[in-house]
Amino acid sequence: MVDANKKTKLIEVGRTGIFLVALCAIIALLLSLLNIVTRDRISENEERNLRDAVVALFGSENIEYVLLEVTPEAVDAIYKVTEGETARGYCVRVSPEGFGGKIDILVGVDNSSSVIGVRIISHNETPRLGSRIENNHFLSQFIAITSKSEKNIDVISGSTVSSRAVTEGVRTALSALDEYLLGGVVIE
Amino acid sequence: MISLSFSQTLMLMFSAIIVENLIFSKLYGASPFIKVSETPITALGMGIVTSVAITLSSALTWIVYHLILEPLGLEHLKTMAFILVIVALVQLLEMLLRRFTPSLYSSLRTYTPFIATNCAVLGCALLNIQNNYNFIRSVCYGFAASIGFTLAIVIFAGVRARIEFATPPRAFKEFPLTLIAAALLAMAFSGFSGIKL
Amino acid sequence: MSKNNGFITQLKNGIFDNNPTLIQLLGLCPALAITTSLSNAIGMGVATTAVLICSNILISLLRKFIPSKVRIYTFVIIISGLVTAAEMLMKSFFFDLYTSLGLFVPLIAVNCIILEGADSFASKNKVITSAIDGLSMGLGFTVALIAVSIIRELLGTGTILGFSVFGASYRPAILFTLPAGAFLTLGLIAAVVQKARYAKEDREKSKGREEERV
Repeated sequence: MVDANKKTKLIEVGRTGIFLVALCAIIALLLSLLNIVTRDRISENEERNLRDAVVALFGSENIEYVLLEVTPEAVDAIYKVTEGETARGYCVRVSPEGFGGKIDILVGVDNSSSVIGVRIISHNETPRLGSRIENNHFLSQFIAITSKSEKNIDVISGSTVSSRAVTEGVRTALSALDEYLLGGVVIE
Repeated sequence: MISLSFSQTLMLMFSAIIVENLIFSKLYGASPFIKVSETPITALGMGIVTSVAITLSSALTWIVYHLILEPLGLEHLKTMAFILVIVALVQLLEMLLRRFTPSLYSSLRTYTPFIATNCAVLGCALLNIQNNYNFIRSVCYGFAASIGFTLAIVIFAGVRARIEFATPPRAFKEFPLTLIAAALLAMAFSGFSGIKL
Repeated sequence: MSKNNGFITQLKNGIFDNNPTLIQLLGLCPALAITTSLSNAIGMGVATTAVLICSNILISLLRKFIPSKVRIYTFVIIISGLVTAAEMLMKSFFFDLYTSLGLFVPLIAVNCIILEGADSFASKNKVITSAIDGLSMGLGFTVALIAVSIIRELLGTGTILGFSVFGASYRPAILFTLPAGAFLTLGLIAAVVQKARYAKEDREKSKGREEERV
């Protein structure tokens, strides 16, 4: 009698287990398929964001950029920017911590390591207020700054945290780029 | 993944508890915050259990993500995997509570569903991945964030106990008044924002 | 005729009498966190409603096969699967909305409304009824989100859907874009809703008394 009970219990557990595993497997499979289908489109979207920013920084549709293989720890990526045969400079992508999370910014730097512009790629700062860091008046303060500048950046009143974050990000970007360039390997 | 010195870790923890408080800054965990803060004691109990849940799940989800999902290229399954880990963890905690502290278990029994579906638990796990923290930092962040959560709901429970005896206009009774009290508390905490350590 | 009536009644129920957010107090996290702009609110509402309807349908279809001991796990697997799918689709077709909503997209999976709908309704009812329930709860949630976000965006940034309403001279009440403002707005809306309910109750009570007297 006891054995029969144990057996039915075991069967029940087995059935439940199989049900869950099967369900998980089916859903995981479907999701992986969906992932494969949408993967390209998603990376296109992300790429478009980046490209728009680079184009805006260097002011030309014809620029190309290449991700450098060596990325210093403090930044997300460094891109070498070229237009045709000429090297235009670099773009450094940093994500400093802002008010609502990380602010994804792109710092455009010309061949003499001075900033030609800063673009905000994405952020979760408070709309309108924290978003003011996107406006040109604030961002234009960074132009012509180099890692040796002592310039005082005016923060946007009411968006102190966001503004400081961006400033910090630019500083990090410049020093990381310096470190990379000094490191010797200047890719042709 | 940047590794940090001890003092830097402490400062980050302070930041996670006060400056970027889970509830008042990120608004994770708002649901249980409003509902489980009736008395300071239940709030404390809830806070502690949630803290254990968040800390442990930060550890477990990190392991699942970096040791299982990433190597297999299955990062897109992280939401599903994390939630399963969290639900299983909460059930396990429930069983342990029932076995070892039956009195605490029965008083918190009605609230345990709020832990698994707490935005804060899943939120912290996902944040750790998004910010690319290493294992130690993930667990520390989870721990610190959950202390912030506990702090928030205990303070709020104290506030609610006080307004228990207030007589607001009928339209504001209970829920609306609770929210407005929460608003004032949030305003107080927003004074901390922008402290950069 | 009666089927139509039932459908409309259920929708009204979901939006007014039993609004999941304002009355049942579910799904408060997104209602407070992402309602800083109307477009966010609409996007989140639509996404959540879609997941809710699909999950209700799927769970209702499977309801005879789900072993009761692992109910919650089953629901969670299905719901998180749907949310992940929604995430991928949003990233593909509504990329800006996705970056706006951020981490709250995967957090749809722990939205109490969906789990509640699955547990108390879809697992016990037929497919069409469950789908309609999903639609009504989802609409109620979306309406609540829209209400909060209209106030927060209008007063907090002076815009609606990104279009400036009050002109450049408007100094916005920044409070509304902060978490404190979220609590405040939701609280005020909840007070309005509660007042309406009490008024309705009073009317019905006095009607009842009049009928008694007669």
